[in-house]
Amino acid sequence: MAVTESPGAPAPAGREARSGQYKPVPGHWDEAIVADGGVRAHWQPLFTDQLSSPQVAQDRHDLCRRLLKEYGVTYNAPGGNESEPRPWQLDSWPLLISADEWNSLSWGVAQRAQLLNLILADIYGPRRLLASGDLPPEVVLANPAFLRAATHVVPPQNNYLTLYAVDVARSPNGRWWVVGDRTDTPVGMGYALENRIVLSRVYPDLIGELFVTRLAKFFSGLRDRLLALASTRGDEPRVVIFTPGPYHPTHFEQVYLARYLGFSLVEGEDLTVRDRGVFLKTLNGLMPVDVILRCVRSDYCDPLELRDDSLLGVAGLLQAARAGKVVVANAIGTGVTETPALLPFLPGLCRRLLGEELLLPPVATWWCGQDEALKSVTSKLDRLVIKHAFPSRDTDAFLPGKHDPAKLRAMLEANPHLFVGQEYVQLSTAPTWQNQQLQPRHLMLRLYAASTGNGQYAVMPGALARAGNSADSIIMSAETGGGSKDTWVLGETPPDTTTLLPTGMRSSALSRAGFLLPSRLADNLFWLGRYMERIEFGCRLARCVLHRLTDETQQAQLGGLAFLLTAMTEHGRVPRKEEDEEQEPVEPAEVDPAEQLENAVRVAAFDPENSRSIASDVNRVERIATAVRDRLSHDAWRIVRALDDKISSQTNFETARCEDQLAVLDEILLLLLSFSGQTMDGMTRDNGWRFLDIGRRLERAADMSDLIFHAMVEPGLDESAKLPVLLEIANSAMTYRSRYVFGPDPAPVLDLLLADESNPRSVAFQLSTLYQHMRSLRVEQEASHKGKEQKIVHGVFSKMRLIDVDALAVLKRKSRRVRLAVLLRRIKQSMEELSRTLTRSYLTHAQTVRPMGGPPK
Amino acid sequence: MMHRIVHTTTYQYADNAEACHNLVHLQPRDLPTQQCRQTLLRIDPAPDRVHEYLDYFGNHVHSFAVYAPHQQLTITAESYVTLAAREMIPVGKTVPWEIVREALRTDRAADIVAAIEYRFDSPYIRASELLGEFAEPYFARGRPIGEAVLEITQAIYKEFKYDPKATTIDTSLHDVLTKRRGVCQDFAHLLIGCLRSLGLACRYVSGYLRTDPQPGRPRLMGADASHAWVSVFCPASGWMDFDPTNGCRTSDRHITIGWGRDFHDLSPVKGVVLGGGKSSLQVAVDVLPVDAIEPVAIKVLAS
Repeated sequence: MAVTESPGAPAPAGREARSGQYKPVPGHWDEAIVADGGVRAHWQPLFTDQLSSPQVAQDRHDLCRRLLKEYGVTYNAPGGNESEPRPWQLDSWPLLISADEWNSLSWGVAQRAQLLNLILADIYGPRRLLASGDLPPEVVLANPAFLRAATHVVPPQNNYLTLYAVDVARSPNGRWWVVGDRTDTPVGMGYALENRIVLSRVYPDLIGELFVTRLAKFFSGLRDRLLALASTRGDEPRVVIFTPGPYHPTHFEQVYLARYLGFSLVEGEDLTVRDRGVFLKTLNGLMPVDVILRCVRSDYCDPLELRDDSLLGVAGLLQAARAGKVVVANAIGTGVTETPALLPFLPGLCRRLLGEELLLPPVATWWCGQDEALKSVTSKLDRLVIKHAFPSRDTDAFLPGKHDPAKLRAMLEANPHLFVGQEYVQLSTAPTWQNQQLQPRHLMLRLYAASTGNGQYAVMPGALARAGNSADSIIMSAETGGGSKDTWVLGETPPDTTTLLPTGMRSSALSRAGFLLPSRLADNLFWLGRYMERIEFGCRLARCVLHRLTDETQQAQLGGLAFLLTAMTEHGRVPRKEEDEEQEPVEPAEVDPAEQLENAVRVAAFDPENSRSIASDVNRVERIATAVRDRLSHDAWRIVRALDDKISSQTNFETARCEDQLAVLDEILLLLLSFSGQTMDGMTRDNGWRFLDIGRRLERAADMSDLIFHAMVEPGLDESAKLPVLLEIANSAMTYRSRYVFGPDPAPVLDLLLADESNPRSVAFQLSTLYQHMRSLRVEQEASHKGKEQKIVHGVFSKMRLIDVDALAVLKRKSRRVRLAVLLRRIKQSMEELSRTLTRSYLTHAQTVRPMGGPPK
Repeated sequence: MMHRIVHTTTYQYADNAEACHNLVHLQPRDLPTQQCRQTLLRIDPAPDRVHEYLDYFGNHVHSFAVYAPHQQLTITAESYVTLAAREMIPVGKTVPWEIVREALRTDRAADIVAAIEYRFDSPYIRASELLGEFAEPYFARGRPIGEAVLEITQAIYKEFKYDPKATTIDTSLHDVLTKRRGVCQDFAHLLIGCLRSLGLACRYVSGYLRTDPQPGRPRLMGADASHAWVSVFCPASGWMDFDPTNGCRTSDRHITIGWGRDFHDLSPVKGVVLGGGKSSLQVAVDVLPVDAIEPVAIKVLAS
C-alpha cells in the first residue's frame, strides 16, 4: 500500500516556516507538523502566508465567517422543525494534501466505489455472493436497509451507485483507514463545494499559487452522468433533485447543488406516479421526470411499498423504477452496504469481484455473527468500540472502558449478528484557527466519488474535512458543533478552469425553467409577494406616524393621524383591546392620543408576540424564502437574511427611542426596495415571477383600498390633515405636489391613488397589472374554475375604469362618501376572492397521502 | 376439492378521495398441493390499468391506481382453487429443534440460506427475551421440532381469546402477550416472534379458511375474513404449517395466498389515498366448495 509512506517530509533546513505557537497533540499524527516540530514541506507556503503578521490569520478568519453568514450557509439541527438553522462552521485554515498522497488516496476511493457497486448489483440481483459464502447471508438478510421491494429494479448499466462517499481517518503511523462507507444518500459534497467557494475568496492568491485542484470538473461530470442516465429518453431529459424538504439537516446543500447543477429541487408532494411514470406537478400540468437524484433516505421513498408512515415519499416510485420509466440515483436500497458488518469481508470480495487487492484498508473490524470473530471481540472488549451492525433505534456506539464488560459480553452473545467490534482509531490532527490562535483538532475526511458510466468512478479532488470541537474531542458531526475544513489537493500544474457557476445552466435548461414551476413553489412565491408587500405597507405607515410624532413642527397635525389607529386595528396589525367589563371605562381625557398611537405603532411594527406585526411577517418571509430558496437569486436571499437581522435586533421595542426605530424602519424600507428591484430587474418573467408579483399586487390593492377607506369615507373635520398622511403612506406625495399647486383636495387625491393607472401605487395600477398577469398565466387547466380569476379581475377593473372621481369625492348622507365606500369594499372583497380562486385553480396543495387498509381479523 | 373464494374489500370516504394507489395480494399462489385455476379482479371505480407481477417472495401482486375522485372503492377478487390432500409428516418424527437452530446458525446449504431471512426481526416482529421465555417450556432439550411447535400453537389457542376489538395493527407483541387477546394476525405474529426468539425460522402465511359447520362442533374462527398462520422451517421435512388461531396444523381447509416475514410483506390489500377524509373499511370473504368454475358471463349478469 502506497498511501502514506512519507506524506510530506519536513521542509529543508534554513527555509523553514515558523509553526508559531502551534503544538500538536502527542501520540497522534499531525497533518502539518512533523514529530520534531518542523512544518511539512507542502504546508510551508500556507504557514508563511498566514503567520506573516499577527493580524493576517485573524483577518482571514473574520472574512471567512462574514462570507459564510452572507451566503447563509446553514445546517439544520436534525429532528427539530421549528429550531433555527445553525450557521455552518468552516475553519479558515484549509487542510492540505500533497499530489502524491492524493493520487493513492483517490485510486483507493475509486476502487472502493466500483467494488461496492458490484456488491450492490449482486445483492439486488443474482445473490451469488451469498450462495458462495463470500458474504455471510445475515449481513444482507438481517439488515433492515436491505429493501426486498427493490430487488427487481435494475438500473441502467447496473449503476446502483451514482454517488459514493467514504469516511477515512489517519492513524499515528501516517496511514489512512476507512471508518465507514456512505452509499444511500452520501451527503456533504455540496458543503465541500461551498467551503471551497468561500476559501477561494479568503485566499484569492494562494489558491492559485499552490495549483489547488478545482472541484468544478467533478460536478460537471456528475451533471453529465445524470443526463446520460436519461439518454434514451429524448433530447430534453428532465432531472430533478428529490429533497426531504427545508427542515432536513442538509437542506442547504440540496438547494446549493440543485442550483449549481441546474436541476429542479422537488419534494415528494411535487411528484406523482401515473401509469408507472413519474411526473412533476407544475402549473402547466404534469411533466415527465426521467432521472431522480435522491436525497431522501431509501426507506422513506415510497409509502406504498416501503415505510407507509413516510410523508416524504412518492407512492408508486418503486413501480416506476421497476418498470424502467424513471432512474433513481442512487438506486433505492443502496443503504444496505453502509453496514460496518461488511468491512471485514471487503478484502476477499475485492479479490473475487475485481481480481485486485483492496487499496484502502478498513479499520480492523470484526462482525460478531461468526464464532471466531465473536471470540476475538469478547476477548478484547477493553480496547474495541462496539457498534450496531445495522441501523438501530439505539444509535450509540459503545466506547471502550465506558461499559461493564460482563454486560457487553451478554449483549453480544445474545444477538451476535447485530454487533461489530472495531479498533479504536487514534485520529490525526490538523491546525485550526480557534480563539485567535492556531490549535490542533482531530480530523476525519469524507471523500466523494461519482459514477462516470460503465462501472467506473471519478473522485472529487477535495474532501469535506470534519474537525472535532475541542483538542481532545473525536466527535465529528455538524450536530455536536464540530467544524469543517476545506481540503486542498495540491497540484503540480495549473488546474483547468472549468466552473459551473457563471455558465452553469445550459441554455435549454434556462428556457424551460419557467415551465417547470411546481405548484408548491408557485404557492410559496405568491405568499412571499403578499408578505413582502404587507411588510412594506406596514413600514410606511409606522414610519409616517413616528416621523410626525418626533418632529416638533408636525405636532399640530396630530389629528390627521388618528384614523391610522382605526385602520391598523381593523387590519389586525394591532390586536384589539380585550373588553373587560369589570373595568371602569377610561376617561378619554386620560389617554394621550399621541402616546396611544405611538404604542400601537410599536406593537404593529416590532412586537414578535403580535402575529400580524412586521416582525412576525418577516419571520414568515424567511420561512417561505427558505422553502423557495432555489428559485431566489443569491442577492434576494441576502436581502431576506438582512431583513431578519434588522428586525430581530429590535428586542426592547417598547422602550427604544423613536428616532432609532425610525432609522430601523428606513433601513428595512431600503431592503424592501432592493428586494423589489431584484425581482423586477433580476427575475425571468416566468410564472414564478408572475405569482410573486400577483401576490404583491393583490396585497397592495387591498391595503390601499383599506387605507383610502379609513381616511376618506368618513373624512370628518380634519380631512385636510389626513390627506397629506394618506399621500405620504401611499408614497405619492411628490407626484401630487408636481401636479397640483395647492394642498391636497379629495378629488385629486382620489384620482391619483385610486384611478390613475400611471401611478404604480394606485389601486388602478394594481388591477391593471393583475389583469395582464391573469391573461399571461399560460396554464392548462382541466378544472371548472378555468377563467374564473380572469372574470374577477376583469369585473373589478372595468368598474374602476368607469369611475368618476369627482362624483366619488362628493359627501353624501351623514358626511359619508357612500359610493366610495361601496367601491372600496368591492375591491377588497374581489382581492380576497381572487386569492381563494387562484389557490383553488392552481395552487391547491395535494392533501397529504396516507395509508389505507387494515389487518385481517 | 375445488373452492370458490370471493374476497370483497370496500373503502368508504366521507369526502372525495382524489386518488389512490393500491397493491393487493389476492391471488393464491400455486403449490404442490394447491392450484389456483383462475382469479378475477373487479375494481370499482375502474383503474386505467392493472399491473401484475411476482414480489420478492414469489407471491402474486396486482397493483393499480384510481385517479377519478371517488367516495367508495370496491375491490373484489374471485378465485377458484383446487386443493389436494397433503401428506402430513407426523410431528413426532421431526428432528430435534436444536438441530434446526444449529443448522440455521452454521450450515450454509442452499435451502438454509433461502430460509435464513425468516429467522431475523422483520417490520412487525422483534425477537425478545420475553417471547423466548414464553416459548421455553415447550422446547425441552431434544424434543422434535414439530411436536414442540404444535404444543405452543395449541397453548396460544387455549390461553388467548379471539377478540377483534382488542388489538390494531400497531399493537405490540408484548401487549398481545399481556392482554392474551387478539386476532389471527396477532397470534401468527406472536408464534413467529416466540420461535424466532429461540433461533428458528418462520414465515407468516396469508390465506383463507374453509369452514364446515357441523352440528355439535364449534365454528372455526376466521371464516369471514382473510386468515393468517405460521410456517416453520425444518431442514429435512421442509416447511410445516401451524394455525395458532385454531390450535392445529393446517389441513385441506387452509388455502394459501402467499407468505412473507410478517403482515408487512403481504397484507391482502394495501394502499395510500389522497384526501377522502374520514374513512371506513369493510371486508367480506366467502369460501365455498364448488364442483366447477362458474362461467364468467353468468357472473356478470348476476352482479
